[in-house]
Amino acid sequence: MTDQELEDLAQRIVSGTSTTEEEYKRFIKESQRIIDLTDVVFAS
Amino acid sequence: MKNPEHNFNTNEKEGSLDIQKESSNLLNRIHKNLERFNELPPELANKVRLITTALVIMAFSHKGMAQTVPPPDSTPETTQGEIFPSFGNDDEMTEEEKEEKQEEAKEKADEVIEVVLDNTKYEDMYRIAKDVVNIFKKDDDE
Repeated sequence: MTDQELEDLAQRIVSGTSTTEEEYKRFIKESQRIIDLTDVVFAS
Repeated sequence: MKNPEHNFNTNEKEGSLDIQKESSNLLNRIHKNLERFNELPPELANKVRLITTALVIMAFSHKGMAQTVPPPDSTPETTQGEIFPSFGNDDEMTEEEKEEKQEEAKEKADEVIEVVLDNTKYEDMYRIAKDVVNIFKKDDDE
């Protein structure tokens, strides 16, 4: 997911705009990936 | 680097994802390293901030905003360690009451987001989110 896609999706979730379950899943996965990256930073 | 694919809490029969629970779990992970948040590179910190806002909304949403298929044998969520509690038993409410409650939740969430967008500190957002949860709990008790 590109940064722009992530931002657009986050904004739609926040605004309550129609979001499919598939998009929620993608967002969760991307969030998981980002938090994994933070763990890598903290572990280094 | 870790494999980004993780085992989510899925309902195997339905193949669905417990979005509210996963959102809470991810918020818990963010919160765990709250003290070190300022160590992150700015770009990554911005991404965390971005997803945090949406995750708060997803964790707040009960069954209305995040349309997921709950496990058939699911019980009201009171999982130990969850940040955001369930806001009541939706099954006991009428459709009108549900809509009203969802609208209230959305308004309160909007207030949170408004503050979040004006703040650059995750700590502030988290504190505010918890305050809002307390407001929900107070409303439910009344």
